[in-house]
Amino acid sequence: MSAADLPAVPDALAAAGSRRAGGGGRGVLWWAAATALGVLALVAFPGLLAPGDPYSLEVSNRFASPGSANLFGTDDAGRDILSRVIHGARYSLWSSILIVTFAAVVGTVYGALAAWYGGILDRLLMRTVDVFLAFPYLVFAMAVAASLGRGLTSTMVALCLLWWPSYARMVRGQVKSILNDYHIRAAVTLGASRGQILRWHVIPHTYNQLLVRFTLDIGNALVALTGLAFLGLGATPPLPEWGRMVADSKQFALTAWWYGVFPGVVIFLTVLNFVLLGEALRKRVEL
Amino acid sequence: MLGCGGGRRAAVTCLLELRGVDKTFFTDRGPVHAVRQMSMTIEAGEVVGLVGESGSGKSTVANLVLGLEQPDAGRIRFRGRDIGDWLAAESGAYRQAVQAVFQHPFQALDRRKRVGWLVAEPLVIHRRGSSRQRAERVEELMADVNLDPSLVDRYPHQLSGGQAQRVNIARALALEPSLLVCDEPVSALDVSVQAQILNLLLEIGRKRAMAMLFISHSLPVVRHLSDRTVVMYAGIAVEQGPGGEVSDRPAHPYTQLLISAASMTGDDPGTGRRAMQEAVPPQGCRFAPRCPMVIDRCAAEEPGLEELYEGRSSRCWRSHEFLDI
Amino acid sequence: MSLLVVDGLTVVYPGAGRPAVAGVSFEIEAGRTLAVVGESGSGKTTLALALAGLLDRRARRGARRLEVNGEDLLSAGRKRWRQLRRTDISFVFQSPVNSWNPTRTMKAQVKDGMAASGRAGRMPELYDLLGRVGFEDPERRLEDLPHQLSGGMLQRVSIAVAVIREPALLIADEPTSALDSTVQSEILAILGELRREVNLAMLVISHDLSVVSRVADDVMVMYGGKAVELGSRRNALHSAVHPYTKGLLDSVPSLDGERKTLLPSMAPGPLPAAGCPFAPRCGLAVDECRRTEPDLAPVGATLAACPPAAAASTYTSGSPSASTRSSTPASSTSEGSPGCSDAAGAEGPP
Repeated sequence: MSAADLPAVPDALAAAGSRRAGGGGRGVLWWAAATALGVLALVAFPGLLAPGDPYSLEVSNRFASPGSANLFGTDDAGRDILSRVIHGARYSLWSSILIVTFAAVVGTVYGALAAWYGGILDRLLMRTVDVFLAFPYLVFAMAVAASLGRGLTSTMVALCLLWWPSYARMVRGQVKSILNDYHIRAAVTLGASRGQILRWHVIPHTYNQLLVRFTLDIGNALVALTGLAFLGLGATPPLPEWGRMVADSKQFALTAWWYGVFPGVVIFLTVLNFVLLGEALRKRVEL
Repeated sequence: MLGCGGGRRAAVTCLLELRGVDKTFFTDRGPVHAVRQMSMTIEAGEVVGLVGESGSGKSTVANLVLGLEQPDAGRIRFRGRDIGDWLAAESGAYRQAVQAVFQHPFQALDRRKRVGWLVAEPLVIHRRGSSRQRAERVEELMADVNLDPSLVDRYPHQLSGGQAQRVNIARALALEPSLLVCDEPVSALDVSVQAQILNLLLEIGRKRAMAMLFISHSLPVVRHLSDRTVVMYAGIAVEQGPGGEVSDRPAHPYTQLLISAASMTGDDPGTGRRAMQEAVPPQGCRFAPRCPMVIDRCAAEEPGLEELYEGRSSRCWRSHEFLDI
Repeated sequence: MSLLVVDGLTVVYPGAGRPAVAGVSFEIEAGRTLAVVGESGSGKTTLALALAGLLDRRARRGARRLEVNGEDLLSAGRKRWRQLRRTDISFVFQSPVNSWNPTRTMKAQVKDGMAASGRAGRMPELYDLLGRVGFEDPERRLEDLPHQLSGGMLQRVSIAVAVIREPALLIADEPTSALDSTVQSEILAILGELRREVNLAMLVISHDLSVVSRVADDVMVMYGGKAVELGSRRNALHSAVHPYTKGLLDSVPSLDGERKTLLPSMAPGPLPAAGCPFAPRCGLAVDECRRTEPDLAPVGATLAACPPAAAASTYTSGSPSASTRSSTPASSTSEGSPGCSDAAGAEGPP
């Protein structure tokens, strides 16, 4: 059939279709985006939003149950759990975002180069990626922690090293397929250089999927980071890192349920929020 | 055959020359000889039509001329210089001189870029003018191809097929090329839009004295536009000739078949059931298995490209008979 | 008897301004072929979908009459339509490649198709038919996967399978536009031959006038959802009345026209909210055209939905049918049914 003057019928169908699908997805999208912004505000201005100091010890006030004075209660050192959770966003969530950002940037450049040059370089680069992907991440994180010393930084380094290969693989696949697109041929005959084609006509076409993946991965990285912290690989006391807080609360689970439950619920809701946001974005992008 | 202008006129006028070009693709199902022993020329300002069915190799010829593919054998010269050399040494100059319009108007445009950006792209690539001068040039170009200036901020999907193809033409014209390769530029468009695009190409070619390699599966379209017509079948140029001569007095049975397929009389063209054997390229003439005029010699021996009279050549044993010369 | 009777068929997609198909009426007799010509957005594909009961669920369909083989289909449910598609209504689609499952052999798929219409035992007949349409050694070649056959070969199989069911109606949606021009001719010749042999009614949808000229007995030209011209092939293509039909015919380069001249072309134009859909692009349009939607009325030898053209032809040709054209065009389809058979009657026996 011809591609000319927009056909009335499919147009009408498309309009009806997007209205319907958009109606359900858009609510989730806005809601999740607003929540994500709220959580990011915690990262940016914890001092303004937290009711108290996350580090101040008040031994007399140990294990205070949730109430008007301490909304989420206090921990074994008498610290306000709400304040610690709010300040913890800067360690848990922000670290996750940094890890995924690093992975996305490095992975994109790496994958794009592999796809662009192809041939032996492509094979070499992608075998390296396979090696990284084959590593069990727990073992790898432990090994890095062992060599760099325990701490939030070494856990982040370990996760950064583990995270970028999946981006490299995704971007390589995308770039490969975009390079076969018809508009690339047109750009070549216009005389565009390789760099120009990559910058103008290839990389921008990966943005949508990258954004979706990035959003989903913030949640995934948060799970990994807090999980490792729970196992003792991560933030060291007294940093109010969420996974660490849950780990510390284990021995008091029966006496002070709020100690572990509140950080745990916050982790759960944050991860859920970014996953929902990612899925809503995916729907938007694919329509 | 034949250098430029049949070797008789000065070689200076020759813009593009293909000589004995071969191109073979290796696929899962064995080698495909997309183009074989292809020889043709385009002179400055000349419109050469290349007609054939899909699989005849006509698009491969376009890709070879555009440097998107490299020939396995033979030479392609532009202004007397091999295009391999051009692209290695002065690719910018070659790209400016040889531009293309492709079949699929929407797919040829980056869907994430606006019309204004797309039309300015060639100017940016070749560093023409300041950004203000480029904006003026974009306006001029859009006027040249009859595009409403208000469309500059649209994305390709907001255009009609005809408008999108005009954007592609404006992009190709931005660098004032001396050769425009048009690979099926109207076959994806609605009939009433096709006429507008053909008129536009005709006008532009005339106004700018630009040479064109016009590739199409439709003999009437090629006949309408071209100064010279080359008919391709199975990778081979089976017939060429000036003006409307090829379609008015075909020297090759395949051209005859194209003519009956294009006629609107409604008569059964009588292509014959033998056409349905899809034989492997035979020893002799490649067209023999489909040819209604086949004689014994055709199966045994492949005819070469023979000059019938000045500017007219064909690859058929019986051409003289058909033309009565 | 007309195998297919369509009277006042209208299809509306929700949210669209104009109906995709607006009050289209025609009939096709056994053994005859009606070609529906139109560009994108003309409604020709929607028309085909409506005749096969394959409209999108949200689309709303209305008609005065819709009959295949004497059966009223306005009240047919989904189940009945499914049955009809297996027996009485066959399809040949545009893309021969996409109509076949790439992972199964042709034979397996053909057998399934035959079994679905209760003709599993008739494979030998199919082989025979394939042989006759130029598909050599069908038993062996059908063992191939679809990608091992060319587009022309696949389309031959599609046609043979569609025809062997002996349907009353064969709908071919752009059956050759994915094929090369010389292969097109072969396929069209095959379609024409089989249609005469099996005596079925055929509806061919195409944007290509040369295809239409080769296969059709009657031609219906659609624009913006409306039938703007309807007549026998000869009349509709050689003495067209409607300005759109004329414009389409003129804008195609011919093999005997003058070379290197500008082709007459129609400026693009939007579909208006009311009135004749072609009015914004039409040189003949008068104020009346922008207000009321004209319907088909006899003009010369064809039916055309264009009062100004009809008026002009009264002076030029003095055709009697033009003078009987009433100035209230809205009524023409409801009285009687000026199907294509009427117009075709002038050309030869039905």
